[in-house]
Amino acid sequence: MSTKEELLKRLSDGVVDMEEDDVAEAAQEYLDAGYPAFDGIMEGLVDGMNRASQLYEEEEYFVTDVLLCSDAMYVGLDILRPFLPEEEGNSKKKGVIGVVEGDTHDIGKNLVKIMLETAGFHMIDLGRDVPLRKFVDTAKEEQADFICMSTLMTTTMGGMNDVIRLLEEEGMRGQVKVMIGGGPISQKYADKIGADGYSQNAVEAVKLAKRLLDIA
Amino acid sequence: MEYEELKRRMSEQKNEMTAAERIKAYNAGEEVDYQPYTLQAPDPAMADIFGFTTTQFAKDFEVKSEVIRRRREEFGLDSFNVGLGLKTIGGALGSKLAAPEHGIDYVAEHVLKDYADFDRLEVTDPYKNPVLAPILESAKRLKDRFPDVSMTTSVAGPLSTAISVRPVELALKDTRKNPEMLHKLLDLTVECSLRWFDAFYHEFGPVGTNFSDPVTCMDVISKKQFDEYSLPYIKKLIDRTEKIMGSRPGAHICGKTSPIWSDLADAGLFSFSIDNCEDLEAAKEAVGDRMRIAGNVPPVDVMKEGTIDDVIASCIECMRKCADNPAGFILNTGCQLPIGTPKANVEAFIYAAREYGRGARLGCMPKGLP
Repeated sequence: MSTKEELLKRLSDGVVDMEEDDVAEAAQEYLDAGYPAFDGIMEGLVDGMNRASQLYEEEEYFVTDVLLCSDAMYVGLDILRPFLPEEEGNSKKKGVIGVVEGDTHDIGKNLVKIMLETAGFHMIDLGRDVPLRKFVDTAKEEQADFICMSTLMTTTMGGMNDVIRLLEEEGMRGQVKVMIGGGPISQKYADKIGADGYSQNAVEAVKLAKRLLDIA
Repeated sequence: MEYEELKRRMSEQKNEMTAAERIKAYNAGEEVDYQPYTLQAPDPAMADIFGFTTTQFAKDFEVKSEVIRRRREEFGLDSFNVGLGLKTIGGALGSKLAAPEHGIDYVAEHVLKDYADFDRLEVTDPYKNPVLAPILESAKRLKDRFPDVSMTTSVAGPLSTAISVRPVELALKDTRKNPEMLHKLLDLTVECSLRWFDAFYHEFGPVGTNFSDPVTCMDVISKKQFDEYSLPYIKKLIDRTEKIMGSRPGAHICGKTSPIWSDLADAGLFSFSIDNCEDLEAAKEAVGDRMRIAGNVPPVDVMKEGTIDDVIASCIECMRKCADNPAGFILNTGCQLPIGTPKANVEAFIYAAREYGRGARLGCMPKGLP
């Protein structure tokens, strides 16, 4: 029988190698052996995804690789998550993420979501072509700590400004950090519309979220 | 500079050549009145400046005619393009497209989510397809109305066309999980594009061509994926376009492209419109003897959000970096001219091309550069 360390390594390697079947098998063996699901997620799956993002940052991995790694990670998560103790996850910082109204380009948003989830944030994904009001309503209902918006198009970037205005109108701006990204977006634009931060890619987005929310 | 001052200075500038005369002389290595310029895919922004929505421009022939007439008169843009957008072939093959009244269209639902449906897709006939036939018809009417203005046409690049048919995440995963079907899809999309060029040649004779291929950048795919899934099809598109039209196409690719410049030049691309995230001088040094370069004033931070002085300074910087490109240089924006770009900034761009691009000549710095 494999030791806990061996199984954790298989989970991690399975994610890095994009092998969904290996991950599923290792996750089941891990549970059958009675090891805690939380460690399997953090030290196995998330460790693998962190290694994948490191490779992405080093330009060894590209978008396709990260997508396939995350597919493998989610296969493992689906198996391990039901065995998490109830109290886990409540302390996580919560973010609302989506592509602003009028735009359906969502690869970048998906990468950011994957990386933020891997980094331990609880992300509520509104998908693409998201009505601006929905960012604010969801943040209110879920008592989110931050909102992430992305767009690839110049025609829709103004929507980010509108969301910030809506947050102000609702008196929520002080409680919700806003981070933005996407092809036409720049730090200059973030400053102009009063967003709390801009990040150029998914790895930077994690650093930014941690900085904005004072997480070491 | 204040707008009044810009207008005063522009009124003192005189056109010595028409756009057609200028580019002909420039290609022949003669000195021209000023640096040839263009604005990347400017129609939506132009419609906006003249007070029309993108939907009016797309659907109303009279609006389209007026925009073409006014952008020629007011901005010296002496040619017009009737081509296929990034999603048109996708729509022609059955993807559902959605277009906001004033904005850029998008794929609401892709036709090919499951390769089991692949055999239902057929190479599109520009004369019969309900999406393509009206575009060809509109080209005929515009050519009748503007017989002395040169018309060009365009398609989307192979991989970019493919993702208007199949969602991009699936297509990317296909590169690992289903290469065979992805190759079939790419074959089909290139055929559709070439059939469009065929029809255009049949109706109008040889015209200038270009393609936009935003997905083929190193922000989305790896060099390895480019080599296997993009380059062979780009090469096919270029070779067959040359056979049809007698001239090679130009292309615009958004984002990071430096790792593929050399491949694009080898594939025979005539001119390359380069994103503002890349450096014109680096491109000139890498491939400037083989490929014309166009670029790359930042569309958002400078054209849309910047001042008149920002635009002028950026145009000067672009020309300083690349106007002496051995295979030629076209002053351009780094990506599509955004809707919402102020008229004054378009005028500042043209003013800078005329003033600081004065006395341009292939492979040389313009005499007007400070």
